[in-house]
Amino acid sequence: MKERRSVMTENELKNLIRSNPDDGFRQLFEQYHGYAFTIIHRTLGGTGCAKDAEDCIVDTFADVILHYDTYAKGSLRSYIGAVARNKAINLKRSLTAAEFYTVGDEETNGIPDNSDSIEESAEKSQTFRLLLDKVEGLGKPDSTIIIHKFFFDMSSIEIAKTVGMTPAAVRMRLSRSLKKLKKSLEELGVTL
Amino acid sequence: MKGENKINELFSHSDNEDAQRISDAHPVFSEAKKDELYKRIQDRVAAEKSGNDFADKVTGVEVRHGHGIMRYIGIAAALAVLIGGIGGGHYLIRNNMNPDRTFSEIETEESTETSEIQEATEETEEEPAEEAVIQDFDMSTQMGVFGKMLNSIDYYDYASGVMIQSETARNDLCTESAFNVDLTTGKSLDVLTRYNIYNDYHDVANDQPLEGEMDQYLGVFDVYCDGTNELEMPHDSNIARIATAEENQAQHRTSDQLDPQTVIDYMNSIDIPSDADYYTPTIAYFENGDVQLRGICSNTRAAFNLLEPGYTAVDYLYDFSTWEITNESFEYAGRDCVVLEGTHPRISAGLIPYRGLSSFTFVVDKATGCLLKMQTFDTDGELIEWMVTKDIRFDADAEPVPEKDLEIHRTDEYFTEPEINTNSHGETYGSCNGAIVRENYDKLPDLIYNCLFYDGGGYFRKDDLFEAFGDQPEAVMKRYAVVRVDDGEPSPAGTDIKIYDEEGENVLFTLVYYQK
Repeated sequence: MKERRSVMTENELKNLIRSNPDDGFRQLFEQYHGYAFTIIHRTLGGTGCAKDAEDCIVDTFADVILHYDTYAKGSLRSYIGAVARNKAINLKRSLTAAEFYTVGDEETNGIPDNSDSIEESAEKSQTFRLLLDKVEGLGKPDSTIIIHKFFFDMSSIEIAKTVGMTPAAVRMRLSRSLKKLKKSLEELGVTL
Repeated sequence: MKGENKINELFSHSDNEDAQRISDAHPVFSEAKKDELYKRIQDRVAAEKSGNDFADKVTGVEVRHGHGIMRYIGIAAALAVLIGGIGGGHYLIRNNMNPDRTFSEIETEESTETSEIQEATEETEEEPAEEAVIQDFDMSTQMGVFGKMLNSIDYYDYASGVMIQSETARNDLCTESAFNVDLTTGKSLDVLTRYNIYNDYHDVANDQPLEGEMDQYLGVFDVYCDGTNELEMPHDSNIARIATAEENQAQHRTSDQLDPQTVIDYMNSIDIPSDADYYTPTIAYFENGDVQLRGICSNTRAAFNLLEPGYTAVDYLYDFSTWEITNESFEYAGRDCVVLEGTHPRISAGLIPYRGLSSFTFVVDKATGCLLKMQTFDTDGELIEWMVTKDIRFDADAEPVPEKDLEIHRTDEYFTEPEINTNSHGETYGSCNGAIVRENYDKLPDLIYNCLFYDGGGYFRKDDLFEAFGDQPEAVMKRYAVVRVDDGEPSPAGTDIKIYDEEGENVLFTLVYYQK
């Protein structure tokens, strides 16, 4: 195993991919899987299950490994984000086909809802960031539990595995965290 | 705050910066889960590779695209220089762009290259010969500007200079590229230095002097091409490693001038999906197409953005309805330039802009088509990316590529395995054998080698890092600028991390991590 830092700049990463594709793409996955996973969940918007999101992660990084050109101009992170988003949109379409899903209205899911005006959308984006600030203010592991629960739809059992606690402890901390957040959520006009 | 928002509905209004913030702070997969997923990815890639016609489709795992056909065309062109047949404009044979040279001279001279040409001739018997003619594009027209930017490498043989460009990660960080290029041999040197910008980056993007300090993590390093291999090394070192997986990957200029109308027709023929990301690199659409952009023949790491702006031209300029020439004669960096202003063409497709990217301003050298200055802006007019040229010289005025006597290694030979030893106090010291994160705490050495990007030395105290930066020091530290401070030197306000010797006793220097 060669020495490898956990986070590299995009240029470092591209160089590593060129010189050693195996290590480079493993590092790329290490560095961006969480980012892609977040985008996939955001785009799926509650459609599908955890297994679907994992499948989408596999699709995304296989596609990136097969097609990314390290000499292409532009941000690597944006490229991965674009692939993740497109894969998630395709997955969402396939998952909702049985529900007479209509392309068009939902086509841009995963990014601000087009039904909102630009002002409303911007306001919601701002509210989301304020919410994130409040959640981060809880400190770990409470912030992680909130995010995994409400953004990634993970169960207490799944969250317990990632934060190294028992499911019961996760539920208890979640309950306490929500009490702490209650006032902030009300101020922001956010409901669960 | 008015209105009610469901918490998960708000999530759909997050952007990619939010996604990065969430993923940085809240990892979702255990190491075992990550290994499991990556194994599936590898299996998927292997399955795809073994499928029919795969070789024609894969590009991502290639270190560089093959340019064999370009070589053949170029050499075949030397054998069969044709004149005329193309209407409009002036045409020059590439030979220092001297219009006085006759075509017969070129034909005779280049035909004397025997063995290589014969080899290429045998392999290209079925190929029609290409014309080795260089079009002198009219820089008062959009087609002329576009065409010259696509083919800038035809208009100079040597170049040297200094350019500065923004880093995508942070507005207060930039890269300076000091370059020397020889297109006739493929030799080049690109000295890359990352700076923390202390003054307003808007000023730097508008040609004010850079006030800053070299970033200690990203540092300075050289990319050198000896005409055969692209090599990387610490600045001014004589020990280099080959930067590509395969040897002999340096690219060389060929005679295959690209017709701008062909590129425009190709771009217009591409069915860009309505859900494609706005910032999917345009080059991605050339992967398997009949039209190929010209290679990066300057063999530079950053300077190619200035010297070979073909990729930028295709990305921004293929639709002439979205931009215009706003100044046909503008002096910049001592050169006669044209100024282009417009909006990104894919905005008209209603795609979601990356970082709100909307408009741009380019300054293009009229003689060479090189992109000397660029600025891109979001919908609010805020600067997103930028590049400025501090010095640029071509051909006889250019500084030559310095000769280097290098000890060249393959990547495998270049890196050393991390070793962990124990000092006289019983503390372990050495390179980190895993990510510097809380879950790896026990297996990390007490004194972690100060492994900066291309420079380093000394050791961090492990506990100092976790105390200062929380559970994921390595990830958090990357968000800071960092400068080295020796005793008595002034420093920005920030988090001081001391660097010790391997005994953990003597402080060698201090690294200051700070945010503007």
